[in-house]
Amino acid sequence: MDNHNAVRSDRALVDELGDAWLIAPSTEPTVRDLLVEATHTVRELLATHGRPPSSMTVRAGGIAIELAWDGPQTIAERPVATAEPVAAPVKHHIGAPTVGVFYRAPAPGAEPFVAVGDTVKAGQQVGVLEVMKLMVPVEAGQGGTIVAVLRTDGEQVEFDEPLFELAPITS
Amino acid sequence: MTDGFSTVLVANRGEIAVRVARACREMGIRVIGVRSSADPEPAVARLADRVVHIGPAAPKRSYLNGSAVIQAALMTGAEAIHPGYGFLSEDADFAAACAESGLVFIGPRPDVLHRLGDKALARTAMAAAGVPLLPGSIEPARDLVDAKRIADDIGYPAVIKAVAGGGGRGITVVRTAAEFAEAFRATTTEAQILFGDGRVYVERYLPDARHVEVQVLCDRYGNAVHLGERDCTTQRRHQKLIEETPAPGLPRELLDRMSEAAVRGVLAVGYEGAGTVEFLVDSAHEFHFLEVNCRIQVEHPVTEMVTGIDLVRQQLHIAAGGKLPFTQRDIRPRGAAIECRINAEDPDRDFAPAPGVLREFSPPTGPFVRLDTHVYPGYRIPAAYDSLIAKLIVWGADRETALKRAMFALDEFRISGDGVKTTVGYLAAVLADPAFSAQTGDLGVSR
Repeated sequence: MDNHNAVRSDRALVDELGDAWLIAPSTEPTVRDLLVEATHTVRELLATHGRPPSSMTVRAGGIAIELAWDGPQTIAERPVATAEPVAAPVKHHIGAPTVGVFYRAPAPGAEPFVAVGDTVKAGQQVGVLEVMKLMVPVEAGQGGTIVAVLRTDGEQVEFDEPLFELAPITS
Repeated sequence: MTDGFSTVLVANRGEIAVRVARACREMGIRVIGVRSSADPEPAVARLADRVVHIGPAAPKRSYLNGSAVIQAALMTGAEAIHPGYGFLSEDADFAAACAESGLVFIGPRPDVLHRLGDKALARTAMAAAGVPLLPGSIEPARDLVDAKRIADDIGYPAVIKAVAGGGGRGITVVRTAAEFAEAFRATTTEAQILFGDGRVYVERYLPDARHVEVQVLCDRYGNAVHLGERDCTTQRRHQKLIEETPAPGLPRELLDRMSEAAVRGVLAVGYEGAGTVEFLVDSAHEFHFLEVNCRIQVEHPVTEMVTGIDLVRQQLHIAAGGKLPFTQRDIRPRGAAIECRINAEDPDRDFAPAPGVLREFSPPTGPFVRLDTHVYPGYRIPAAYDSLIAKLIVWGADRETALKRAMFALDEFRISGDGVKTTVGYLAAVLADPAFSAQTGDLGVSR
């Protein structure tokens, strides 16, 4: 926070307040000085609370300024300018539904079911596993974009072994 | 003969996966383990070259998923699959699928598994081999009228058993003729739901019978031996609690005849590997065939303790085309052995599973004490599977010594954890029961 600006604002506030509520001519030590002190405190309180007070009382005689906030009197952290909170990228995998031999395409030489960058829907077939001459489809459990293919064509895999990395679609 | 396997996949979990992996390591065989999502840090990982994640917690999608298991074997270069017990161990279709994929299933051939897994076919085969059956039907009962007629013929109490039953399920005891119709309907319905096969057969029920089984080993060249018997009479709701060998209080001559019948029976069906023939021994000391278990059994260590023969090692040796390295005369059981099954169950809440995280797990040690387990402090007992967490096996020069040693060992056991309850205290009470030490097997908890 820029201190210089804060002091200037304080003076501006004091001038306003002085115009509105200062009735008695100033005497020494000046009420003005006390007001400056008080308004400075008010500024701080307003700044540290994230929301405006529910009530405010200002008395000029003897200087009394009361501010009140509803709810718990916790001092909120001074709002710090931060970037929008970015969720750490969650890695989602499409795992092997069975132990078997992993194939990326429905037949030798055919186009792979999916490639990196493809968007897939939940339930879409992305590969196939051969178990004892039986073909078991590998399906995406959720929609998303294929980020990486983790096993090569023809590789033997165990149950639940990650085959694809998937970036889920965020709504 | 072959040089044996170089890589074996252990298609199981828990203590038996560890047990099988140990035998493999001793034989210089590379071990591949499997796991489900409910077993994130399996103990077998310490012994395995690699552990393959084959599926989620549900057994049907992992440990019972034959395709996933075979796929894991193929992608790790395993030549054989050891199924342990339970799960895929007696699944004829799985054994056939292994063969189709060029893998050795460590166990009997698929056709033998099918024949012995169907209790009606098994009874027929055993009857043909001259193994005595319980009075009752050999073929499954056609319907209620047929079943009732058989029961009326053999007399009550009778027992209705599911053809596809196992693990103590699908069995109903019928005390009187009046109860029969309802029991028949209940058993067939349960069998249909549990096993997908509603067929049942009817047998004489022997209320005071002892449950005694014979361990056999067969190679593919027609050689077979028995390794003595195990008495598994102490059960709770058809679940075994304590097993011991030799069977206490039974004449040696009877046990020898029973063991010989067991060998005759398995040879007749072309059995290969380790197997167990279960019998009931009645109060007149007659024995009757119950079923064949085509796998390594939970209670196999008691036989190992008295014979000094590593049964899992023999399974691996036989499956690789090896010949039995001994004859019947070489097998000389010594002393007595007892196994106690320690389950994560609450005896005060009708043995409801009581899983959780083990804070303390400090098992007994010392001479002639063996502990087979897969758990450790910090281990989370998954609720998805069987509650067996450890097997305590002790050996003694005689039954009395073994019994005392087992009691001391149970007393030394320290297991605790949030929500965890175990059967340790209950087992100690059973061992201390005069009925148990008196060898009657009648504990009021059995059967």
